[in-house]
Amino acid sequence: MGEVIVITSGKGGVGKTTTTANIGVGLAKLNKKVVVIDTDLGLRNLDVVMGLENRIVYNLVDVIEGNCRIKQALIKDKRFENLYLMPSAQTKDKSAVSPEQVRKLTEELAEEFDYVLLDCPAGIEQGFQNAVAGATRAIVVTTPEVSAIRDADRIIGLLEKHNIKKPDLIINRIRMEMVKRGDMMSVEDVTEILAIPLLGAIPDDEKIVVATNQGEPVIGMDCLSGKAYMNICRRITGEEVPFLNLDTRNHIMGKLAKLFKSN
Amino acid sequence: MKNGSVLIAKDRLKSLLVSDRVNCTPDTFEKIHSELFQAISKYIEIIPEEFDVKITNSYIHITLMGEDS
Repeated sequence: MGEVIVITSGKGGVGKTTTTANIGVGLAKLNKKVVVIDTDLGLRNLDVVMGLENRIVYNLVDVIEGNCRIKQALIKDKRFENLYLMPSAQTKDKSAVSPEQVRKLTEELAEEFDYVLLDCPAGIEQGFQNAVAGATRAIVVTTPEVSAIRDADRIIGLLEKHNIKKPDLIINRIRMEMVKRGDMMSVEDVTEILAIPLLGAIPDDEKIVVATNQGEPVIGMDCLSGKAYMNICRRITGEEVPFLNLDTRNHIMGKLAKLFKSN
Repeated sequence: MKNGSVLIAKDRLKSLLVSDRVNCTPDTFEKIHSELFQAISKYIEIIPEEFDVKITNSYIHITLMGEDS
């Protein structure tokens, strides 16, 4: 029996979809059988971020309405063994599915997959209710901004009501140079305020924009954000992985300083 | 750390989250805080500087000895 994990944030635009896509790829790379589900009805995005938008035939609503079998709506990602996407419907709205229907679907999928990842829409209305219905575990994505943290805190409260007591936290778009200047909350600041376990922090990385342009994950790439995502995936599987030092400039400056000292 | 905008952000968040979590205004929370202090000081000797009420999503923590600050 696999795990059903919802990736949520409350606020939009903090990186839920990018995070879902990268975690999906990362877990597949760790030889887990993974299905990622886009639950944002009417605003389909996960397919584009994953570069699978041209292969959609059936979608989540088709499965729930019984227009096709589950297998027919699953798009196999040819680049990664064991990774499947169930896209959302672009022409339906939130009322097309109910929490109960999503719960039944994820239950069935969890019998066949190690991980069922649900990309949750922004907001706390029915889209959120649908996405969390079947989840046994949750990942809250936030950025180091007052508005995003406030929304994350509300989401944590709502998840508690759905019996997900300790969701995991991912802090996205950290800019170390701003943290050092005292103009951005640090990973420690945010973790302390939200008081839930930290799963990982992702640096604000141009590589993510480039990768998303190309419909590629950043996770296999040799860059800090890619490594941070990979570590997150290993932690999800239960492995203990030390946190990355996101302060690259310090590394380079440190090395330079050493160089000058030795001369 | 230099004097950046982080301290302002953290202060704003602190009162924002308390009012979100218990669904009351920051003023009401101040009242809860002082009335709890009065109630407890009837029975236990405490000083205001070492008394703190913290509200998380699931619990209300009352700190008497100032161990957190």
